[in-house]
Amino acid sequence: MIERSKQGAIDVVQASDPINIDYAEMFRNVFSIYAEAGQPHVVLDLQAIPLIDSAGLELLLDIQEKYRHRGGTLKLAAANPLCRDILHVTGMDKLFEIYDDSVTAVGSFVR
Amino acid sequence: MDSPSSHIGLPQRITGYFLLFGIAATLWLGLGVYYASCRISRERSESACLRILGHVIRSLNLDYMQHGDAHLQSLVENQCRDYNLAYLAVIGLDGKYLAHSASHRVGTKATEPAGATESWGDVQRVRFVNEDSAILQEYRAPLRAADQNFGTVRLAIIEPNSWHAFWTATHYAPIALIGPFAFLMIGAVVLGKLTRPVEDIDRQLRRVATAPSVAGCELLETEVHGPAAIGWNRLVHSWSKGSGQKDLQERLSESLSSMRVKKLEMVLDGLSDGISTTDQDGSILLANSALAALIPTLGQLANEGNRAEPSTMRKQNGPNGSSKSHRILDALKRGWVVPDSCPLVDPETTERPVVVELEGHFGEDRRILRVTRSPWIEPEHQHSTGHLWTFRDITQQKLAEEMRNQFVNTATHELRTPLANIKAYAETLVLADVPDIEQQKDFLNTISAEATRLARFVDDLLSVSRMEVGSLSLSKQTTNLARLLDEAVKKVRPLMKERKTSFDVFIPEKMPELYLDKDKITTTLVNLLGNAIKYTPQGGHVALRVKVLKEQLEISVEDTGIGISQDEIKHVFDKFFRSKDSRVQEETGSGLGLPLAYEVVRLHGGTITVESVLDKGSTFTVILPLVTA
Repeated sequence: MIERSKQGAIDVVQASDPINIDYAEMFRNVFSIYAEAGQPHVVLDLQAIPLIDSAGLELLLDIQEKYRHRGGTLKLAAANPLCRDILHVTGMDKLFEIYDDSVTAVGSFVR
Repeated sequence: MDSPSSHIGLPQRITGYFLLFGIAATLWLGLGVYYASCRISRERSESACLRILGHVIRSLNLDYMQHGDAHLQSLVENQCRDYNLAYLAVIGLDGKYLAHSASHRVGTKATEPAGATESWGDVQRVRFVNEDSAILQEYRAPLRAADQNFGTVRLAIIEPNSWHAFWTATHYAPIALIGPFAFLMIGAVVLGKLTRPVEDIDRQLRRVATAPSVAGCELLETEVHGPAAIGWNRLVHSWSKGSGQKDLQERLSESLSSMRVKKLEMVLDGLSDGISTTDQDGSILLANSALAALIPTLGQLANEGNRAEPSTMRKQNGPNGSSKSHRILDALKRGWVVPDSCPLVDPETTERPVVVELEGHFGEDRRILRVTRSPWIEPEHQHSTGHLWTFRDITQQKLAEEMRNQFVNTATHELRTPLANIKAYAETLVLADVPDIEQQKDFLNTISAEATRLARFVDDLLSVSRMEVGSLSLSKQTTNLARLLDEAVKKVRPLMKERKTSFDVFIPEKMPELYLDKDKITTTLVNLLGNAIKYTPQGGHVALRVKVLKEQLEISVEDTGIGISQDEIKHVFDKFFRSKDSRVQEETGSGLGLPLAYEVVRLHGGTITVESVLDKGSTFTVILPLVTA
């Protein structure tokens, strides 16, 4: 299940499903909504997301590129140890801003 | 330097050379045939003569044996005629002609012609030239009858000459010469057809060879006859596209300039701020892709004018220069509120930088855009020739700023009011003479209540601060839910009595034990119940309903209070948010209770929702998962 909320002008996406090949399309549809109008400023709260596989990583990169093209950005927050390791090993932590929690991630947009 | 043949095209030259060498070869072949014919003709005449000589000898010998020399003359004449000889003669042992094809020579002394003599046994051949300048070959052989020599036979033929040989060869010429000539002609035709496409290319290359500079040459595509023509056309196409026609410096400069433009485009499109340049009329000359995201109407305008997307909007003067231009203000006005007093529309401000903040509503979202416009002065012009625009979405910054201001206001109010009360009552106690013990107690109770209020506000602030940094943590324990609810209800009962609000509690008889943070959930419920009482007028009604579902616990707090408007309902869980309703403003409140409740419930894996109708009442529903330790 994907839950969308707004903190100020920042969109926060929370989910409890893994970002893998089975759910990638569902996540893509949700993220694409933000790229349709205005500049997308989105935080993906990974707290309840158990796993990210290669399809998920590819999706995140695609979305990031799409958002950047519109002057927006996707930030990650509250990754569990496994997701954090996956992001680190694949070098994705160099491509994304990753915060300990979604509140800090949202706050970072003000800076 | 031109040679005479250089005016003739390559295909003609190839065909010409082919025919020249082909005819030379054929003529050489003809000469060979002629020579062979001569040789064959001569050898054939020699062998024929020897064969005729044999026949003649046998005839003469036989005739002489039967009739003596009586019939020799007639036999000689017949034989000479039959074998088509120059002459035929029989010479007796006395050296006189016994018979001769020329009958007047019979009885005359035989003459010895001067010429080359060859011998094969008894047979001799004398080759000589007669009085008619004809070359004669005279074959001689002895005649025998009954082993007695009775004379010599002389047989002469006219040697075939060159003309004769040629004449003979002409009988075979159709086969020997016409065939090769025919093949040569067919070859020439085929070669001509094959090399015709090259003619055009050859002519153009010849022009290039004689031109003073390659750059000035114009190359044209040729008619397609085969792969060579296709290749040539591709070369011409590539050449005409530019690279070939320009000199190195020109090409280098063009290449570097296009690289610079591409880099600049990449930089512009990589910026998160929208960037645009416009001319004096405000028509867009250049825009980056972020601008299209910030001003969605710009994309619509581009489509209306059959233009490209703004990301590719570079020097938008239109393909024929006649299409209508995109005025940036028109695009802005389609989504953002641009008041008439805005400096952007004031013609007096075009020569100086302008910074404005515009507000726009996109669906339910309110967004704020900071627009800066600076005059664009090109080095060769003294005055501005256009404007440079930058656009930045500052909604989040604005919201943070508003929240900060609200916090300062709330904090000031929430700190000063209790402090003022404490100070006033304490001063009264100290300075004034208050002999009544009951009154003193009342004052002290007020001071205590205000101090509690201060402490609660400071606690809330601390909690919010922890919430901001994500360190608001739970201390979960197995909790008796009935006791927890009872505790919460007890805490709000005094307020309930004070406000004269009726209060109903619907709690199932059997309640499970849950694993949760007892203090924080109690605070949350007290907060919700407190709000319900605070914002319900006297005589109103408040209800607490608890339902134990299959996997969830549902706690609802209902009231018949002032309610929340639909505009404000989505902000009730925002920090420091307080309704603009005057009935709310009358009550004290920090705007922190509901955000904290929201966060506490969220940390427990639950949800909190609100339904409300203005002036009718509100219902806050907390759903918590049934989790046991």
